[in-house]
Amino acid sequence: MSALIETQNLYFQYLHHQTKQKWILNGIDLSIHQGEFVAILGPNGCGKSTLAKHLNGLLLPSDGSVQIQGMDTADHQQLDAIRQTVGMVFQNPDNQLISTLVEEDVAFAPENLGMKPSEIQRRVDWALDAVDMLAYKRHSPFKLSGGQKQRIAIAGILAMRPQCIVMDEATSMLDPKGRADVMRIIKRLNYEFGITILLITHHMDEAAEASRILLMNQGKVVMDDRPEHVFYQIDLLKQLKLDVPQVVELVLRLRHQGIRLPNPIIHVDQCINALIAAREEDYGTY
Amino acid sequence: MTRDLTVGQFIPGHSLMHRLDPRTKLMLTFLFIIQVFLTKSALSLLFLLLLLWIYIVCAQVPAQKVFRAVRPIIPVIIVTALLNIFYVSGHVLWHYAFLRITDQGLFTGFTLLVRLITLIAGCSLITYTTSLNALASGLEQLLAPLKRLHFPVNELSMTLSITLRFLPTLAEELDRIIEAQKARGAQFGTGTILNRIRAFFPVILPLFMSAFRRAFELTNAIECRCYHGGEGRTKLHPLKLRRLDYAAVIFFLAAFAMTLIFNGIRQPF
Repeated sequence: MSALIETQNLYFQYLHHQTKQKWILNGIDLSIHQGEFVAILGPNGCGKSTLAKHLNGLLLPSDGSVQIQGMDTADHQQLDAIRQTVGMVFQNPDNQLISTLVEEDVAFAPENLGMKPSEIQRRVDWALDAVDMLAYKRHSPFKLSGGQKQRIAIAGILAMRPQCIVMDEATSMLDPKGRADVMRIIKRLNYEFGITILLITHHMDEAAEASRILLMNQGKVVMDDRPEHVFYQIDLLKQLKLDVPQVVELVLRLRHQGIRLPNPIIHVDQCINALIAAREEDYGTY
Repeated sequence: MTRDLTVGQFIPGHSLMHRLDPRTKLMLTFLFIIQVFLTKSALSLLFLLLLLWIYIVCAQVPAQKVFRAVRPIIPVIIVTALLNIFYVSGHVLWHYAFLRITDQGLFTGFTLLVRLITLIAGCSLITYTTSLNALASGLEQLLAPLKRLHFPVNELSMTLSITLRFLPTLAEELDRIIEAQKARGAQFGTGTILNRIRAFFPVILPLFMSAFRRAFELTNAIECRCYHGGEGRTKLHPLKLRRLDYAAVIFFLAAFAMTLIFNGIRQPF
């Protein structure tokens, strides 16, 4: 099976032929398949967002190539097709909404693609329903909360029916409630609609939801593995100045105190179950 | 100050005014402006006020909101009205040194006051009842003939609608920056003029910086959504003139004619 997203030997620096600065992206080989849920972690300035912007042709590689379903992002003819395949949601919802009416905002992409009004309407309703915002169709986005606005921004991308959505720190400006809502939608898009998700985040609990984590540093992918493996590389995480997930920290301390816990624990409920199991093993069931 | 900004403060609704085609509304607003400027006699002034009241009712916008749009320019209106009171000749009612108030001056000043308030209030209705996108696409359609002269009509309307869309956002940001600078001890509105101007640099610079940052992110966001100018664009709700629009045009034209007629009737002054 060919990959949805494939980067080969990707190098990037702004105006690379004029400046002698080191690469922002320093040789990235990556393939992401249909239906994956990938989190990208890394310290500030490691090239996460720059990588993301290569995935639908917002930036073009200085060297190497990026292929989306076999289409090269450098091929100007296929840019529309590429952008319909890989959508992107950004950090600040306010800067992504272009209309004063929710419905019109979501319709923006299909309008640009020259679809028939009936088809646009169908897509708008479907997209708003998928993010649980159908009731706000005729509202003005400005009165909504950050989380709601971000869900509308997601709907605006969904209206193109993309195969993949890249979330460039899309939850980092939201309050806890908004963050939880957006994460719930992201998971639904992945599980129910089979949309590939690339989640760029600083929150370890969000990354824990992914099926695969890319750890980046200085323009390179330094680790590419399942979360339960990545999260237990404590030294590497600390070296990259990333948080060690609280659950992992707790598990390690408990183990240090001699409490036996099974290996890959990355979620809070996993940890609770393991603790109950360990206790039952020691003292018998209640 | 920024809270009084009416541009881009669409109130969703289903009133008669909301349901009009934006093209109709733009044209009729234009007609209304001319009508206001042609209003001369006391009778037509009264008629104008009646019309304004009818329009506000048809738009189902709280009158309070409409007059909030007028508030920021009240000082300008008052100064203009005062100048007229003192400068128009006629039967002298009161004088002191070089100042004279005449009956004509008083009437002209008052007329001007009412006309300007009506003008702003009337024009605010279109922004309250029309979403910016509708407004922009209305303008786009009205200017469409210019496309043949290679005038970038679509791009202009997109620029316009984004400008209008971001005004309230930037106004909010301006308020926030002012508060933040005040919290650090910045003092606005005191000292000499020079000091006052200088005090605004720490406000304007962050506002510019943030506007640029927003612009970059917005560019990325609309590119991601396949925007490439107006070529081949379609609309969710294509504009269509309906019976309501024709009725509105007839009503406005009739009202316009009434104003002219009322102007002609002999005035008490």
